[in-house]
Amino acid sequence: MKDESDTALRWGSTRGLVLVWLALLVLLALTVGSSYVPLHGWNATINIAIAAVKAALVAIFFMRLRASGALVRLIAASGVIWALILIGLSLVDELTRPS
Amino acid sequence: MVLTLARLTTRWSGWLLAATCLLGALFLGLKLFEYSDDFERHLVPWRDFALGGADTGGARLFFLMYFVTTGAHAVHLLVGLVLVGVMFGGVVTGRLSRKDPETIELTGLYWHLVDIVWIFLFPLLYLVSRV
Repeated sequence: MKDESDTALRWGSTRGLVLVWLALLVLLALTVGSSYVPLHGWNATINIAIAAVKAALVAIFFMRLRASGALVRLIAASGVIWALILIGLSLVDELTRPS
Repeated sequence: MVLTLARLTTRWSGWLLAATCLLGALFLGLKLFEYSDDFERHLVPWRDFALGGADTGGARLFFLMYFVTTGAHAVHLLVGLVLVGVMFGGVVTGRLSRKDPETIELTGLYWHLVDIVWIFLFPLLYLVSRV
């Protein structure tokens, strides 16, 4: 049926969405597990990196960026870049404070 | 939430929206339980704060940040619960159907944005200093 395949193309198949969700759960287990292992100050960095991968999975598959055009992807990326600028500038004070 | 859109043509969609609502409500319920525990243990920075000593400044900042960020997330989640509830009503009564998935799609985009915020808040607030 044409409608069925259209739906699968727009939202992804049920199987694919469940697989992405399972991947998110694996990453959650990884981030919780790694936080109990001493990694010489790398714990926070690894946790943030895993969070970034999880956020990318959600944005690409659940928020349909995969099936979106270049314009929508560009706008999504600009949102991320602005958020990074705001957070980065907030951290400037703490990071440049003489210890 | 996004599964609802993939299965919008079937009668699953109503149940999936109901499940989304229930899980969201469960999250908020746990959050209230957690807040009441924080109150009892005097971890609210502006109300008889329990953590004194040399690190009290940092601890105050942490818990202030904790309440501001989880509070803002909880408010957004509450809005999301109302939206998903309205979508549930629409799907069950047949007002929303496969002809106009846009309304449900926008709700889904909002729901997953709140989701992404929690993906970052969880390790930043709950997994720091576990080692």
